[in-house]
Amino acid sequence: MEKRYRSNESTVSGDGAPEGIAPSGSSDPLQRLARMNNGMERVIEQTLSGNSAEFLEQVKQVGGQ
Amino acid sequence: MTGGREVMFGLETEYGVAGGDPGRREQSERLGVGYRLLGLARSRYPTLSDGSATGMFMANGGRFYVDAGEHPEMCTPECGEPWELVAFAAAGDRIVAGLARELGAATGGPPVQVLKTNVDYVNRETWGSHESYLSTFSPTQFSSVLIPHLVSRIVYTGAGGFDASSAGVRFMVSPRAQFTRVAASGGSTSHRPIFHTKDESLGNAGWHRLHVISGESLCSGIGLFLRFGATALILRLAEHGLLDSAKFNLARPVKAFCTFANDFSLCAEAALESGERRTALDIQRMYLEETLKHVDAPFMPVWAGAVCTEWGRVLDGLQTDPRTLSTELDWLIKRNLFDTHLRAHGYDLQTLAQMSARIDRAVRAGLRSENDSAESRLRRLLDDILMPLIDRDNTRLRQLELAGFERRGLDAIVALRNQLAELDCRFGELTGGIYDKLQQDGLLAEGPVAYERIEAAMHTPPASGRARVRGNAIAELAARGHAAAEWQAVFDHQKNRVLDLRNPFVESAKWEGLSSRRRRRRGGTDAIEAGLDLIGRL
Repeated sequence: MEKRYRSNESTVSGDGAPEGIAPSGSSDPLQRLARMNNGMERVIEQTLSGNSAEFLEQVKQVGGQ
Repeated sequence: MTGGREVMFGLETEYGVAGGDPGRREQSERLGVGYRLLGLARSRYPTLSDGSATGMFMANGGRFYVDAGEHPEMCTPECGEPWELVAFAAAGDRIVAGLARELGAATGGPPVQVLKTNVDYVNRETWGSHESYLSTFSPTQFSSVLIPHLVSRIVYTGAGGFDASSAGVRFMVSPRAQFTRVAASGGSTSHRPIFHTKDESLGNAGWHRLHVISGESLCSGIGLFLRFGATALILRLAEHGLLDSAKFNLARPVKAFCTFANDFSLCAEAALESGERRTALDIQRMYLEETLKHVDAPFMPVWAGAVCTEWGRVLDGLQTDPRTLSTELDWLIKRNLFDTHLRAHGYDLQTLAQMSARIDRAVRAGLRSENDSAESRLRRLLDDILMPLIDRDNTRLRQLELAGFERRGLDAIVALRNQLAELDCRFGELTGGIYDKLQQDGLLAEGPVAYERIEAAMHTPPASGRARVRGNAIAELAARGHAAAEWQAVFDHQKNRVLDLRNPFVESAKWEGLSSRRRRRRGGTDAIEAGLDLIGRL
């Protein structure tokens, strides 16, 4: 099962925060950034269609708000 | 009011649709995707018609429909705290993603792509991501104290993207800002405002709804959490007269919105009416300070302190080193994404922004200097507005060559611009988008809500309020049929009864016979009667 969000959140505690939530910056954010940047190129390669102009033509909006 | 602490809000998300063989999928075929997703949803989930052929309410209390423009759109149920909102927004995405996968597999054709994105770079249009906040006051009276918040909150709610009107590549913290024309109005497709004055309460007399349409679809859980948490707290302060508009008022709100939206250094200042100048971070700090003064007041929700803690952490990070939030907030993740792609091609966003300013000046100069007829110039101008990315006849390229740019370099920039726009659109793709890939690879900070809670929110309604009553009624009636739902009522035609949900905080299902209700009312029309009329025509 893919893990996308924290798995330890449960009920609302006295101060209103769900119990078990660690401060969001608990692991070193700059290390996380370095790891993310290392993985970016591969994700970009996996993502681009090879014909971006055509992709954008397909997606174009008709009447959004 | 309801004891004072209760808050209620919800989110509408418009999705873009793509898919099929490039060049072969017709627009009409693409438009049909929304309806096929709806049809599939009817067979896969317990649902009731919303009184139209183009929408339904689901057992989690939310609504799924095809909106004007024929894009699919998902509304969360009414939520009472920001974690709940994040869970139901993600649940809506997962429902649509699952349907899109199944639809693609069923047709045996190319996968259907559903995109949670904000800017159409071809037509220069935008997909909406609208917030609703319940209030006991008409929201229009709060415009002056809320506009500076809506303008400055983009430092954490910005989706990141590009200026679609630029012939070059201009990164924006909040690309939706480029479609904003006025500070306040009731329009949603023209004269788009920062502050939307529409007040359609969808509740009993005495209830109002603040409808915010200047926000953007986000993938980041913490961005969405703060978007709703901070805005709900500020609205609560405004309702109690605790915000001094003289302290916050911007001299020129739309200009300030665009200034902040274009400023990824976070150093740009905007003028206040007082004559002082403030950055977006300064303004957010002022709101946070005011909120902290009243965080324990009896009218504040129990989660106010937790929101302020996260709000302060994010503002601190943005102030001291935005890189520390580069795995958390949409616009910062995207900035790294785009920079990574540009570096691989020998560019960076900063250099391209400078180059783009020159390109845009040259394009404008070229358009002015053309010795064409007025009609021809108008056609070129319209082309420039409507087709900023795809330069089919190379008109813009020719103008730029004349202005001293090298053709080879311009070709590279056009190609890069299209690739960056594709990356932006695919960032929030529901079926295997960039954000999901980064998250599955463990490269992003964890979000504020447990995966299990999102799974549950796909099928079960919020813990309290009328959404819970609505969702439970839908679960009960969906299999049997002869029933319909809307925000303020559920109609059971088989038993000739109605469930009145006009009180947003109703906690139990009290069905009323339709004939006795009509006798009691002795004529007249209310929201339920209007709904009955509509559904009676089905």
